[in-house]
Amino acid sequence: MTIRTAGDFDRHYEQDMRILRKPQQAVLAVLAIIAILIAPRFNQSYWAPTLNQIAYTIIALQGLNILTGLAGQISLGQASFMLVGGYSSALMSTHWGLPIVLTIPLAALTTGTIGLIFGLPSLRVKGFYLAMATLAAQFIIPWATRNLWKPILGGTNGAIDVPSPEMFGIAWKEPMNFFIIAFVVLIITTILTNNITRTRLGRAFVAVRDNDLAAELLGVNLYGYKLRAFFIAAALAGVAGALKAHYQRGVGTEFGYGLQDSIFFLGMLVIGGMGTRLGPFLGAITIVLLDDVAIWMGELLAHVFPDQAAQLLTSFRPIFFGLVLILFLIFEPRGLAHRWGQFLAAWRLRPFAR
Amino acid sequence: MKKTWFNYLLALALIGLLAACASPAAEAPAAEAPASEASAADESAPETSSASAEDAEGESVADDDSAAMGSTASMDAVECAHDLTGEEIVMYQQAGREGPLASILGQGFALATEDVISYINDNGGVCGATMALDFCETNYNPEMEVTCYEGFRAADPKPVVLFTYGSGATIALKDRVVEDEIVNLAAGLNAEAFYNPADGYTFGSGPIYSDQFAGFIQFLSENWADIKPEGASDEIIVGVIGWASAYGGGATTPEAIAYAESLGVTVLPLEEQAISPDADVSGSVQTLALNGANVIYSQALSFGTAQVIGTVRALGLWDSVVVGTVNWGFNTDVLNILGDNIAIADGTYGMFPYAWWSDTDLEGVQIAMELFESAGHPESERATTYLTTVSAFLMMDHVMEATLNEYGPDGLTGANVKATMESMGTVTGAGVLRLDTADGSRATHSSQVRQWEWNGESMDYTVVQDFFRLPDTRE
Repeated sequence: MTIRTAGDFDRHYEQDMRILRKPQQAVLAVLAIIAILIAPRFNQSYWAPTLNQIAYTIIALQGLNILTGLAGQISLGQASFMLVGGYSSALMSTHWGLPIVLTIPLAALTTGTIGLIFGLPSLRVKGFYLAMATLAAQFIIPWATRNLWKPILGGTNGAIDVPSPEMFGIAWKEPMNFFIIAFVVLIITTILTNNITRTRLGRAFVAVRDNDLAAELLGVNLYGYKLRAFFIAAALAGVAGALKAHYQRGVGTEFGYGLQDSIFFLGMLVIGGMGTRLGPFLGAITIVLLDDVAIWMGELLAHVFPDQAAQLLTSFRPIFFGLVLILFLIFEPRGLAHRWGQFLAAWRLRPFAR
Repeated sequence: MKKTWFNYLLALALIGLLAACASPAAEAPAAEAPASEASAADESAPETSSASAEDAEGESVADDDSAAMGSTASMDAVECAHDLTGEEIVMYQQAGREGPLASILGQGFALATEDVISYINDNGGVCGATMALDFCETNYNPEMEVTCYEGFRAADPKPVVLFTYGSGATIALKDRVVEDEIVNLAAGLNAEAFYNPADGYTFGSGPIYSDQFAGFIQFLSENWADIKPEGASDEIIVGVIGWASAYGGGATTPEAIAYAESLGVTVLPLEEQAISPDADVSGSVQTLALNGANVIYSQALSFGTAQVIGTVRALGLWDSVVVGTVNWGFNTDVLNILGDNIAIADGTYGMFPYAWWSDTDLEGVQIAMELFESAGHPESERATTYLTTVSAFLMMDHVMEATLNEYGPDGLTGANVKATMESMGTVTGAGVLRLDTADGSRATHSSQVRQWEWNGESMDYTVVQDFFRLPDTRE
């Protein structure tokens, strides 16, 4: 819900369509970008790797948000598409010597094409059954990377080396420097996904999600738009996977990309707010930072209850995340983005908000 | 009312989140470090280096290896040329002590590290300097392994030695430790990660997995007539069940398989096992059985190996196959997991490249026993983890003292520690662990084969093949 103060109105259509409607908003955005790039340098050893992880996680979630949040197609294979993107970018860098500015978009195209293949069942099935179909991707792709084309994909080693980006003589392998690349890519994907939600494509996705029968009767090509959603989601996962691969300087099942990651992505989206622009940001930031909180709490509890230390250390983290997810589903199923919207609305409507 | 309450809860959680995450990566207090199973320090370099000149043809060198492992050289063999009293030397460690995979290392990991660091500091430290430990939790998550490493490398002074656990960490950090010149004492013994690049900084206390598997094949080939199941043919057909990871695939490298084929041993395609405490391997076991396997080798550990043993028993195949496992799978935690059914592991073979608690003639074992019993730890933790951890830290204590003697206090760098270890040729951890550093090697090249034998009350770790030189399956 967008609430504006009295007197704040648009004078022409172009202004209404702008993301940053007023000069003050543009200034704030620039200042925020500068702050995000500078602030982590005060505790680089922790924030640099964490921000990189948050950045590529947000990009993967943006793709999942398009597919699941907007188009209503559940996917349990987002992590496997990241794996495809990582391998694509790695192989193009290693064997063709392409720079990262080319390998990332090419990886996106490659992964999007793979995503189309696993989106084909959406013609016939939906809901839970479609989720099972995407689950197939989550099993097939990692298996293929370990058992097919072993000299190229690493085989049972589960990983191949990925070179660090080389541009302008900067040491991009340093986490803080790499974050600049990740942040720029994040800004681009954020603009793209925001524009998708505001265009015919996004409205068609929403129509498919809300009532596919009515959408079809209104002339929306269900299958076509579902495939587009799969393509976009997989492409963004490919971008995220490429960034992750170049950051970690390795790609393969040894670096994760498992079913647990795919499920965590869905959980992040629920917590952040499915179908919202802020959802991927809030979900990724919350869960990545909560990981450290869970470790800290687990150690604390192990110290407080030494007799149960072994059991606590083993089981606390998954219980903690499960509890967080349940609490959100009960008390705020629309996620943190909705809660943030309510805060904003309450602030703007003060003192009349209640 | 509910919304207001939830808003307050959310605000409190947000404040707590920011407060908790404002601090750098978790720092453990000094001496709170799990036992590193990697890296055995050469405690008595002059005595053990002579034992490194082993038979390169792969023949049994039990005497030389036993002598090396059985060194009872005094813990004070390295006389410090410098006094660093008042200084502190930090060892860095990253592992998964929390989460579903925490049982892999267990509590013995943390207990042993705490005990041995206290012991070292009580006995003069590292040339007078206090040994401390900085631990970072990783949950065995590669992203967290990299995050922890980045946190460590930013330390001042730069880390000299890093302990990691898990093949994922070994692979993720293999190039980083070379760039930063930090010695990585890894428990993840994946060949690709160790020797690629060739001049890497990754060292391991045990033999790489492919060497162990080839060694097990060699043992089978030489002793098949005595150990084969009743009714089994003379042809050895080995099935490997490994975790779906680099660790699980670490045994069946092309080099190891080629070696097996050179001995006329058939190795079936690898059967993957999910890394989960409730994974089901019945399908894998049955597939191997149907393909004629008369040997099943578990390239897993902890609950993974326990699952294989339990499944083979449950399917009634125990008398039809020989069951063996890699060194980390031949550990007390597997028996602890089996619990009341411990006896079903009777007859399992395991690669064993270090000493055991029963080798009480070894100084390292004596020290470990003294520490273990004085601390009153539960018997369930009297495992390989505790023993090798104590040994590894004792080893590093002396490697660092040797480095200080050679290069001086300002020369205590990762590059110099690496050079010291390489110059030693053979590095042992108070006789318990052994690390061969000759000829570009950065891992052990010898092992025993032991077998679990149930005596009615407990499981004995019986030596069935004393230390022998393992085939070299490096690429």
